[in-house]
Amino acid sequence: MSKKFQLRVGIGASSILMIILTLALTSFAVLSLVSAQSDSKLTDKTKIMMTEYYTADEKTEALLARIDAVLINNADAANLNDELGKLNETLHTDENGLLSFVIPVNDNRQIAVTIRILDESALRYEIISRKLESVGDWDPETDIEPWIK
Amino acid sequence: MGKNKGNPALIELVIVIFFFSISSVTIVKLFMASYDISEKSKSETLAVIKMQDIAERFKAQPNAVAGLLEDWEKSDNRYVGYFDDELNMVSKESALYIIEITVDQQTMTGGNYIRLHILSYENTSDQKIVLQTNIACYVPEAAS
Repeated sequence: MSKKFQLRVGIGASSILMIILTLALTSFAVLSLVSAQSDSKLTDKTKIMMTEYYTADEKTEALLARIDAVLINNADAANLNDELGKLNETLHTDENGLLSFVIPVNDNRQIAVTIRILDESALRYEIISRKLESVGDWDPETDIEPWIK
Repeated sequence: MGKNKGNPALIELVIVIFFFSISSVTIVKLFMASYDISEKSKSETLAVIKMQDIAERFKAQPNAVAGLLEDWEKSDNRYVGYFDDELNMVSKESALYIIEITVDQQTMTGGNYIRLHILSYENTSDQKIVLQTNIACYVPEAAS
């Protein structure tokens, strides 16, 4: 007597399979969407930071051009510092005779420039330092126990 | 003669396929949306990298803009470059992105003020802007 093979699928099996499959696919789709959105947010932040930086950098270059013009026009003037001070409110001379000014990039960062005025040189100034620095106070967490082996 | 009631498992399978196909449409839409967002952020990231590259090379040698953009299409003070989705330079016909750089040079009291206006946009009918920025450099000239 030969037995005929029959595949019997009970009622509800396909529904359960569909629910599991749909849940899995929905989870993957939502995860990929969340991942893509966080990538997009990061890109937007990078874009904004880059644009803000180069806008501030452009202002820095324009100010350097104006400082150079003042140095040419007022080379021997006694009121050189006053003339330079009119260009930018942050521009000041320190005890070593170095000129410094800052250009804000955004609420958290600024471009700080220090230049030296050259008296006996073909060029009127040289840039001593030019850096992007953080503004604001650093508020470190002190209640974290360091891990020491 | 009794009524033919049909196979209940088969009827369930038909219903399951129907609901699955409906839910699949939503799931595929979600996947497509994430793909679009991902492609957009990829092109923007590449545009940012390209522009930073151009900006820093320009700032290193502000008087050599022509050398920096020697492979680009030039007309007067405007340079145009055509790029694929990986921001590699390609022909105009196969370009997905176009970067336009306008060079503005002003003679100041003590030197030259060179400013690049960089505009990156998609090579489509609506020319959607990806990124635009200005990069400037003041080049003081030595007094004679």
